[in-house]
Amino acid sequence: MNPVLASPLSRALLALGLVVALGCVFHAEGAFFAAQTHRDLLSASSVTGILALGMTLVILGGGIDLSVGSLLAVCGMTFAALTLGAGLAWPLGAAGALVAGVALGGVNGMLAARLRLQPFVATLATMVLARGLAKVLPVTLGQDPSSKVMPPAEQILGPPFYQWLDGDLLVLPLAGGIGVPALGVLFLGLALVLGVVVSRTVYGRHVLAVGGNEVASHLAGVAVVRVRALTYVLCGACAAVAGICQTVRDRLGNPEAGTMFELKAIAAVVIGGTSLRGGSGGIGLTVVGVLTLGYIEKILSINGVAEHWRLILQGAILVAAVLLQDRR
Amino acid sequence: MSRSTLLVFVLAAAGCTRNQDAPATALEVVFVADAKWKQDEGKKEMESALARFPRIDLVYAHNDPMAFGAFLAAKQANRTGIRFVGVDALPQEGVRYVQEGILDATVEYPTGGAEAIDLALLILNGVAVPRDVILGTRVFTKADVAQGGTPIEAEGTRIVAALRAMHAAHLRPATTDHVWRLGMSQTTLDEPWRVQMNADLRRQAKKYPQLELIEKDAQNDTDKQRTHIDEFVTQGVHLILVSPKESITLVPAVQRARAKGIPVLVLDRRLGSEDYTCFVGGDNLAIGRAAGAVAQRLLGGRGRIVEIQGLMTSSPAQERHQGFRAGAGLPGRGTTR
Repeated sequence: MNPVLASPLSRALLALGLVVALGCVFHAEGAFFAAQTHRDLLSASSVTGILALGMTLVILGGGIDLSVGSLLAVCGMTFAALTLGAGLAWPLGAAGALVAGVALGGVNGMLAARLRLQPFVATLATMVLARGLAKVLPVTLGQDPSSKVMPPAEQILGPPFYQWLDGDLLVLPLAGGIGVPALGVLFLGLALVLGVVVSRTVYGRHVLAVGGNEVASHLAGVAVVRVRALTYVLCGACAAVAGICQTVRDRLGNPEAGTMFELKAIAAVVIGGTSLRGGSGGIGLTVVGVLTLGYIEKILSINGVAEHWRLILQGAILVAAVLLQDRR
Repeated sequence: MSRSTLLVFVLAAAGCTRNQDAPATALEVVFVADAKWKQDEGKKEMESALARFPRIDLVYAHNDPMAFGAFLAAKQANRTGIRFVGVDALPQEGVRYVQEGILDATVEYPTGGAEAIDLALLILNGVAVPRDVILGTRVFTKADVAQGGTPIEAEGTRIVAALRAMHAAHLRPATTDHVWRLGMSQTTLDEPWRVQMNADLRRQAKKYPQLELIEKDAQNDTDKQRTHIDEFVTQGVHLILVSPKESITLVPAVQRARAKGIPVLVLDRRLGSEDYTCFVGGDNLAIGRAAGAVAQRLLGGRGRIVEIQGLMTSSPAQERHQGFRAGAGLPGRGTTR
């Protein structure tokens, strides 16, 4: 094989490059070349992107987490209930969301790592349970179950923090001004931190070891259960951040938020080149996978492709990207 | 792909470029996307529309959350002068967005809750009611939202008004030992609009001490809903209200209830047979037409429109689309590509 394509990262970048080239061809009357298009794409991809970061950890450790979409809803609703419903400051809301995410991630870790349930089954159960929690949360505010948590009357567009996080951090004075979306910076910043954790810390090496060969890791003295359980907890924390981001994007709390996002997150991880068998892959790959998926969606959207063709093309492009990634 | 094929693609794409900056000479739908009723999908599709078209005059979304999402996208892109029209007009959602100046208009999808309770009370009093009561709608714009919108009447609106006037004596609170029990089976309480329907039913039923409303939630499960109907019969309720999930499956259960002499009042979605006492529901085609007429009026007959659709495999989205094109005077169906 061509040595340039020997590493998963170069293959992932090639897939991204091909998709971007597709965008340059089908540029929708120049819309693809507008800076705003790429800004919007980064902002919109960051929610599933952050979920995919946590998912990468779990998959590297040899597990899978189907509950992230529901966890996103619980945490997003918690954030909305505290900041919009109870009118608390955003750091308190964020803390509440993180507690919820870590706690539910802990439940996943307990079921999948300590009690050794099939991770697919264990997290399927928490997926259902957490969706129920998200729907019952409005009751704490005296609302009907399953109702949305709306901002107070004078803040229909959300409190200032919402507008700040859903806006641009700064506008680069290039090409008529390129906005740098705060959500995108949060996603990339989190990716940097988790990337360092995976590739530069003892814990990261242990996750890869456990995912690669559980028995050997155990014999080598790695605390398999604790290492693996922590991947679910960190994944829950990522879902909490993603939930905050989704609530901020919507400017309201929606108990139906994040439905099917677990599949998008898993797709991004796999397209990046992290193996579903565990033990091989990385955070950087997932970032490339997230952008690849984001660009596919964006190109289909700006071209106004009809829904049925979108689904067919998305599926076909996914297969192509995964096949490219699977050559070894 | 060979270099020459690539060149053909580039030229073809470039050939499509037209001047999109000039004012439109007629109404034209320039961008259509299926956002599946979801606010965030509506926002993303609008971002694409904004990137592609330097001039957009109006956004028509099949529900208010998607219209709000589109508004957020336009605001982020600092694009002004765009009008937004939504559908549903729930008090805490669409109507509020119009009050706050976010949407220019929203068209009500009536729940029929209040009408259904009054009709139920009349049926129980032995009054003959028409089998099909198709309700009108209300359009809320900035100008009339404070007055509760502008009603667009339909036959059902007139029927209900006439019945209320003619049988006012029956529609009074009455304290009696005999309480009529109404059983209500809702498809799901996961949709804000259905929560609103139940709230409307409850509020109207509270006005009459002679009525007791028993609510059940089928949680999107047809079997559960069928069981509800049978349970209501066993419980001996005096009238059954049902907002069906699926039209055909409920037919035998409804027939069993009717055979026991229990009237069945169907809300929103049709039943798959003629064996019911009365149907109350809105008309999505008429709602689409009203939205189209508002768009036509807001734009003075010319402008570029973006249509953000609900799930186009569902009949409400199809009808809101067809109605809109008819109401705005646009030709044909205009979706397929």
